[in-house]
Amino acid sequence: MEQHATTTQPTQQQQPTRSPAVPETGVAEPRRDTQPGAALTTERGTTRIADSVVAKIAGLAARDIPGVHSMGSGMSRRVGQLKSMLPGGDGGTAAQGVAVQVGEREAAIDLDLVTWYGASIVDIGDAVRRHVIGQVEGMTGLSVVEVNIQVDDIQVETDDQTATQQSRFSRSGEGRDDSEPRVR
Amino acid sequence: MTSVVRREDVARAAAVAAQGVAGVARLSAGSGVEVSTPFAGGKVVGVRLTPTGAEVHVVVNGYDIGQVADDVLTAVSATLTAAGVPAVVDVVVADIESAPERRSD
Repeated sequence: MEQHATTTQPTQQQQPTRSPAVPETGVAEPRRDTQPGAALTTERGTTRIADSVVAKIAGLAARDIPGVHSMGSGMSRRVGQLKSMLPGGDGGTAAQGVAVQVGEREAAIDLDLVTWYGASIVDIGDAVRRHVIGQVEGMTGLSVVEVNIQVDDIQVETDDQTATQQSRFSRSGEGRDDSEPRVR
Repeated sequence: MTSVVRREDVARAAAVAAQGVAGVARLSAGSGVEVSTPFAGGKVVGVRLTPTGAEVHVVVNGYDIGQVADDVLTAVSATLTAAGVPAVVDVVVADIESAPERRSD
């Protein structure tokens, strides 16, 4: 059994040391730029990354983890479901269930998750947090100070069948029985 | 340049190490909450990485359950140590198989 490399920090990075919120102005604490080439603020100009960008990345990253059923609190999920039923209205759902604060160098992320019944919420939360931090930091160069995860609901298998049937029903535009395969 | 071992690689390596032990039939997802290490795009079933090490659930087909469990512990612990992560390993024998094979050693 051979390992790729030795590590300096896995498993330990997790305790979210709550730094005093995100400096909206980004001037609070001058962070030493550890990543070369990742400076968003230079003497020749700054790069601003919009909240919605970070929210979308975080939303997509969270959904990558198996065990995450969907995102958003009850009401926003329902509204999102309605929106996706409208013709051409499928966009904007990636950031559902995500709230972010983005400064010039740092970002804080709050996630609302729905997990599957039977899966360990602790394990999923841990995996989501790692992956979201990795993706956001990798894609934006921002330093993620914290990822707060709220699990709003758990999904039981039988509930979901009706949910997917409903959404397929709406997408196809006419009633079709999903128990019948379309192609034989 | 620092290198980081990805969790899924550690979990996979631990799973492979456990499965390679003579007397282990397969890994088990456990009977209640699924034992797994989720990561983006998949999960490793039967191994749960914890902050202190790992939990491994195995189905044993050897005669000597205690010995097999001990071997699993040694193998997985060595793997985790090689990966540079905490290596306190809990082995859970989740089941035994009805048709045991004779151990080769």
